[in-house]
Amino acid sequence: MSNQIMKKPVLLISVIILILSIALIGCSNESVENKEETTSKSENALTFAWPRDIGELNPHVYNPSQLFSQSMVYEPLVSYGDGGELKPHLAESWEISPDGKEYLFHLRQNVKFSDGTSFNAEIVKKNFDAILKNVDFHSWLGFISKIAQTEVIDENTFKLTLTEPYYPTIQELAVVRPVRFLGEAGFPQDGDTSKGVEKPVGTGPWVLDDYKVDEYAVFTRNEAYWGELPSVEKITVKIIPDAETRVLAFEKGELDLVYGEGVISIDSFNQLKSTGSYGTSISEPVATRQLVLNTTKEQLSDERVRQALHYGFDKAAMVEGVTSGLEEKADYILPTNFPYTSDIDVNTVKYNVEKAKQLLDEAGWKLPEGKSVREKDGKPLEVELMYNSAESIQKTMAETLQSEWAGLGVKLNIVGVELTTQVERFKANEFDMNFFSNYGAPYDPHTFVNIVATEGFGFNEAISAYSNKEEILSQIAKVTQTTDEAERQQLYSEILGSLQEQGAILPISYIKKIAIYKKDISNFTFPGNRDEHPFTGISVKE
Amino acid sequence: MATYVFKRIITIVPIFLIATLITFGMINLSPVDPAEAYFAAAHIQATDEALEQKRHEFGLDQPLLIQYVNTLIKICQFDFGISYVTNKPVWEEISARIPATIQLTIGSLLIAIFVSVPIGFLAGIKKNSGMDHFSRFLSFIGASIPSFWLGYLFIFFFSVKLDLFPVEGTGTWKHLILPSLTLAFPLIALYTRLLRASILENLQESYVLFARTRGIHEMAIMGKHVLRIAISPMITGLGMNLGNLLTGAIIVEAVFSWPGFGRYFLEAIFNRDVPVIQAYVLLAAGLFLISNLIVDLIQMFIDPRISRKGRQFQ
Repeated sequence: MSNQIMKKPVLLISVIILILSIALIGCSNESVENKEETTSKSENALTFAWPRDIGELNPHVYNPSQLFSQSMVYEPLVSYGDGGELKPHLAESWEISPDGKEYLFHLRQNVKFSDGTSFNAEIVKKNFDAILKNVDFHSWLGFISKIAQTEVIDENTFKLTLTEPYYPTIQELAVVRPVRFLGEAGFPQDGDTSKGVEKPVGTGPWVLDDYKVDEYAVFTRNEAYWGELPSVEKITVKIIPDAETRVLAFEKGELDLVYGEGVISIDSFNQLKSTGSYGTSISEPVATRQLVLNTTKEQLSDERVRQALHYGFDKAAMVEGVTSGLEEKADYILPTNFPYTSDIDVNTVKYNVEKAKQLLDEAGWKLPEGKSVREKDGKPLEVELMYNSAESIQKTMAETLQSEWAGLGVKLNIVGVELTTQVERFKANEFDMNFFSNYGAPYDPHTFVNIVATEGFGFNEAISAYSNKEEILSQIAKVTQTTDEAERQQLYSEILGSLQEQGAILPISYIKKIAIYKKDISNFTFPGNRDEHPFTGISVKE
Repeated sequence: MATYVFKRIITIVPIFLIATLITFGMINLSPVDPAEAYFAAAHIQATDEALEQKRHEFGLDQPLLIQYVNTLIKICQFDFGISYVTNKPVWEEISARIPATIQLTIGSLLIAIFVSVPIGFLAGIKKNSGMDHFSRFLSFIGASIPSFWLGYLFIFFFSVKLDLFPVEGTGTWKHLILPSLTLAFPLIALYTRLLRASILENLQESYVLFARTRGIHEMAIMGKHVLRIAISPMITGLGMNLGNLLTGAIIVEAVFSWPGFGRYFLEAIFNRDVPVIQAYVLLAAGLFLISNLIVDLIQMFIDPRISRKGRQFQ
């Protein structure tokens, strides 16, 4: 009897192990078969890592679809080149009526979707109409909510009519989503693509060939592509959520390329670069990291205090120290390689502690005997800086500013919050200082000035102490409507100059993308459009 | 015995209800607006109308109580709602990812058993021997090294330096080894010590002394008698840790790019995908409840005194 009881545990464990083993072998066998198909790697192929699954390849939706993959398959009417040059893409040319409301697009002929069907004005209209079914959802993109009518003029001519003139229309057509074109076969029965597409049919140079959610996606070259055929035949995306794992996989040789913003840590990038065994690239500025000072707060309402804070820290040293040269000290609130931003007349601020102290003294914030924090009418000069706790660069910069400004007699309290809280507090005007970065190409400069003007976004309230706030707002309202190019440039120069001059928006650094790749990869270039894939022209040495 | 089982199953219901209430409460206490999070995650600058529309779509404009009751009714029908991010049913998303997680869990369970039983056994019968010291070292490491760090170390040595295993992904048994080992490590530490202690305890029992006086070979006493009895606490441990394994897989899945539902959950947290978070927490709660129930039943099967005790109190 006792023997029987004693036997049971061992027996039980053995049975459990047996069952589990069989289950396990069953699982792995199945996946081995799957894998074999995908690892048959041809020579002219490229493998890179991405943190998130590519999501549904639907040109008309956002998260969780990834911009790079959408841009590989779907194409725009107009493309955004370096320095903001707008080039014909699926539209060969366009005409804009003198009143700025009518856009006539002459479509490129002989463009085929990857399933062989023709790209024409009909399908352009069908895509526009699908987008307009969810106009509220896409209203963040300025021209969408201004569309009055979409018309097919003939086989290769499409006409877009707006309710009011809006110059950024052409620039916004270069955006990766939602205005890109899905083939007829991709549309669901009811034509509403917001719920999903039948299959990813686009005109782009790449076609999705194989895909396993959360694991990988394989794109092959679209052999019938209308433009220049890519030299690489196959691109495999491995989904690796963890940054350190990406680095290890790259070191091991499982990846040919890692690129993006913040995809690997700065230390890892520099360490890999220092080995000399890999090629590296750093892009042109894609956005500006800014510090927003809330002028509705008493301490920051005085322009002299804001300027003092700007003079009072060594920006170049901080940016170099925190980002190890991956970002560049910024003198302007928007990068100067964007349209209308290259010629902004504003005094750039040079690090000068004495001047900062002098400005604070002038503003009435004196340093009492034996104290380390300045006071005015018995109130200490104390401000709070909010940063995104998940972003190490923001955190380290906040700490640097804290110690730099302590030398001026300014007490900076730094508070790490989650991204969504950061956005909410910014919108609700519940902050003293906050980090912000603009959207970049192809959204700026008009999107940036537009959100500055928008009530309830944060900036509009934050610049309340500006003496010419009303003038700035009316200039912003005018800038997207004017049809005169020279006047537009003039307005942008004044708006951006004015915003920066009074110190509520303080440029810190230009954000850049990085890429690191094996030596056999050549012609890696970053696209002018921040969201576009970088595979145009890339080649692998055999 | 049937009544005991029935009673145990009945007690699960209120516990599960409390779990739903706590989950719902915690999610609503969070200051984050899912509609806002939805747009922030997509890098969209949302207008107020777009936000309002999303809130309505998510049912967030209804009173809390109604939201809770609606959620509860749906859960009973195994409907965990639609993911805010992918617009697909949460259950569909989760069930597609469960097999990978279970595979990982089974792998690590097997490794844990195959490693900890021999080490724990040898450490127990030869106290203060080299093996005993080794087992102590192992358990210190297992208890103190966080699993993500251990994962990196494994990848660095076994994959990058020695080129024995792939860094990430799935497919062959080779892909399974490193993540399973990482996940199994804390268990190995635990079970080794558990088995060792249990064996030491059994060695003090009089039956061992009798066996020795009968002249039975030492190895036979240890293998046939002591191990059989001493291993029983491990079964309890295994069952209790089944839930831990599944939830512990979150970190390991992220490090090794394992396409399981732990990783999916992690992404859902960043995206504030409330239905997914809710479903995950409830499933985890359900899993713990069920694995505890199974352990209780197995123990009752091994030692019927447990259910008899239950009856005494009736």
